[in-house]
Amino acid sequence: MKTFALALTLPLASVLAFSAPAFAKIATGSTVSDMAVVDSNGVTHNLSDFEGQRVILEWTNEGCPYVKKHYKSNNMQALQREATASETETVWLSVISSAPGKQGHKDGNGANQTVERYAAAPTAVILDEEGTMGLAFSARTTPHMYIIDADQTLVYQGAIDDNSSSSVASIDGATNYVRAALADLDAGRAVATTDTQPYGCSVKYAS
Amino acid sequence: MRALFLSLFLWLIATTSAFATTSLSVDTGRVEASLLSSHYTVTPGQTFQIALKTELDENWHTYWRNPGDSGEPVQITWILPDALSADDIVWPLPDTIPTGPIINYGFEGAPLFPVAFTVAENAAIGSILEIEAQVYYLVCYDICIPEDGTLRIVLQVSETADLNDENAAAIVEAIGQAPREIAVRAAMQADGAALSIQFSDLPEGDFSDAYFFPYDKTLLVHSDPQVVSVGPDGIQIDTSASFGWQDGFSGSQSGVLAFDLNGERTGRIVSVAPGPAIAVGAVAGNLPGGSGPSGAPIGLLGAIIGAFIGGLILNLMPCVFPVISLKALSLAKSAHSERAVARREAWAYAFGIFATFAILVVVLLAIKAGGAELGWGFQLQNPIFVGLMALLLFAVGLNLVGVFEIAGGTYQGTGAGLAGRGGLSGSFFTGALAVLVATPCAAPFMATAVGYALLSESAFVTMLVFAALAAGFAAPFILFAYAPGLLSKLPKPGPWMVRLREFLSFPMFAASLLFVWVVGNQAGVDGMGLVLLAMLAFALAVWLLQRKGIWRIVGVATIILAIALPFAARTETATGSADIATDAWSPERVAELRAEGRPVFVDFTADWCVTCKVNERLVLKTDSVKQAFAETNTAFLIADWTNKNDVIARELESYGRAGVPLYLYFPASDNSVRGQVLPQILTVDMLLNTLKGT
Repeated sequence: MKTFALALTLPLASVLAFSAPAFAKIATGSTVSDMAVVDSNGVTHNLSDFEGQRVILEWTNEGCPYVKKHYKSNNMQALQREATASETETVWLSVISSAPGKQGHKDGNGANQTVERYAAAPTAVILDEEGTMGLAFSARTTPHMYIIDADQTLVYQGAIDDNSSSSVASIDGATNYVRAALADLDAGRAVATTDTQPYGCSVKYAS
Repeated sequence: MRALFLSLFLWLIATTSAFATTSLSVDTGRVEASLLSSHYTVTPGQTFQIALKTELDENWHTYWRNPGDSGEPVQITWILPDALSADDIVWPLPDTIPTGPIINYGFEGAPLFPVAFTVAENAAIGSILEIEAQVYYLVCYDICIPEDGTLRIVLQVSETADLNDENAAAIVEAIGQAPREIAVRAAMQADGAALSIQFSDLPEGDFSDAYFFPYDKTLLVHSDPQVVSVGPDGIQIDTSASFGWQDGFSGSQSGVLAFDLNGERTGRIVSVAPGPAIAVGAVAGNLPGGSGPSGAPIGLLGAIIGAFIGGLILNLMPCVFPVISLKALSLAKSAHSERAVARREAWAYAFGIFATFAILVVVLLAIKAGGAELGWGFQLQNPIFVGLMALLLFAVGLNLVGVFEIAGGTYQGTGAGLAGRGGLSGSFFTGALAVLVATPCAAPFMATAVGYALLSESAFVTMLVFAALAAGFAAPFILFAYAPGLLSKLPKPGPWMVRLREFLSFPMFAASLLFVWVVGNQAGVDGMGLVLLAMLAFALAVWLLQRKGIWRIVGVATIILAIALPFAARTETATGSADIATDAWSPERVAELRAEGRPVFVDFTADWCVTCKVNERLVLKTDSVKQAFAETNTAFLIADWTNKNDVIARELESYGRAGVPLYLYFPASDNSVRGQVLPQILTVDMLLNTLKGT
């Protein structure tokens, strides 16, 4: 039944994704379109299932030096734990859009091992080897971060912080945009910085 | 002691080779980096150059100051003695580097990054300048690797500046090729997600494939195509605004405008301020380069010649043929009477052609002046007009087959309503009818000329080109009337003419059916029903008019009804996006498919465009072509111009066209935002070669 639902919803999701202009951004403040995605344990999630919860999307690629910077320094894991511990129920989805054969591509098992190796704490790791979800969000870099508020509007998209270097030393003293946006949301304020230029490696889509 | 050692070291290698002023190169993995100094020795107060040279492994790239969608710029941190100060990097011209849907700005090969240094006035003669560069760059191919290294170079302050010729030449060349700042007039406007930038007072060069690389990362969406329209006074680039526009840009923004000069890619640093659009003229001139016989830009003379030849060929196109046959028939009739009569009739026919073209062009210009986006064949986008045409052709057909004769149709041989009326007015209306039915047929050579004419700023130029078209169209009959041998060669009138006349009614009916079908597409089944009803009313009226007394009055009323009916036809509003096939054209759809790495073929067509339908039937819908589309995974997009559509009209205009057909091909391999223009008359072989890239 699950695979049936998947078979039914994935084409729908791709139609949704591709009826938007090419690789254009979803404007911050607009409602995200629903799509069905599959995680590393084979579970299908619809984005609409998370209505009422905050959703954080993190594009990732284990081989990318910029991703390594945030995982080796424990920066990303700390943020994952902090975010999902918020009073507002929060879902953290790490998304792998690397196409088969490209850097960072993982099967379910591989993705779970990576989570284990880095003691990462995402709610789920989404496997998006077709790039459907990546293109729908126009994710361009790893890391590329998105925050979807409980009412399913996109409230932040861009970089994780303001230091675009791949050096671990650059994490100290950097302003973490995601943490700042979450603090704004927790305090009931509008997010101050809603868009930033993401930095990092390009997402390894099929080309 | 250290200074002494260094001097010794310097002296040693300065005297032996030019190596002193070139650092030892460092292989950082994918890149071999080194420093080149323009001088061996420098003088106090002097400015000189040191360049970072990076030799990249094949296929690997590093990034420009704005890296585009991802990546990180090349960075140099200088550790310098007090006596030296460094300027900024003189950035080479970047390339757009696509990776899947992502566009980066960067470099391949062996780019040089020159930096200017100034020696302090108080630098001591004989002192040593130790220069250290900590370089860092992200180097990417299918994966990205951050690499860094430390490079050192040592120079001496001297009373004379000693140039390293080889290094200096390389640096001068790099600086010469790097974009330099120039003053142009430029303005940009963001309208929602759309961004338009105009540049005027441009230097010499070909800007049809121009590209703007902004320094700011948040100005435009790097992965969206930049569509260039070239006008007589400058260019406009249309693309997508990025999120920086949420807060707006208060000051002017710098960037590099890349273009072609003498076949080489080059760039200039320009600054653009937000502000009202600068008029750069219509998008005339933007007759894109590329393949295809109609791709090359043409001048006024070319347009006039093209229009004349196009007019000549138009006589052979299928839609005009039945009308032309009529004319030929009447010519055959008068051929053997007085020559003066034949000549007068030929001129009346030509005058009918000229007058009708003139009326169409004046109406077109007037409507365009009102701001509507219209092109050639605009009248056929109106279902009322098409309905009336269908009715007219039906009437002509009935007349030809002998159902009725028009009063005043004196000769029983060749009458076709007004058009068939004997004498001068008959010839005049035959000419008019020929033009009206000719518009759905585009002949070779004609499209470029008509495009040139309609996109021209000057109404005079438009008229001139259309006059040439009319002249070409009318020429064969004038020629016949004046070439003495030809007229007498035509067969003598006789009973065969009645048969031929009757036969010609069938192409007329066929043409009428085509128009009915077009109305069906434009105004739906209801609109088509109205036109069919009008035909029925007309046929009834014709029958009534041959009766007597009151019936004739009823007949006249029925004719009025017949003519009135098509006016009730209304363009059907588009019936929701669900009905539009997934292969409907839009600029976004093209960009999207190309982002997926698929080649794209765009068919700009209209139901009333006979040339389009012929191409469809004979080429596009053949099995071999379909198979080639499937094999090459080429997307087939249809831009249907049957009804008025401003987006399509603008796109046609940007390719220097004012009408359909237009066939564009976007290969997967190149990243150009402009499609290749294919010929208007397609052949299977040509299309297969294009699709398969051979």
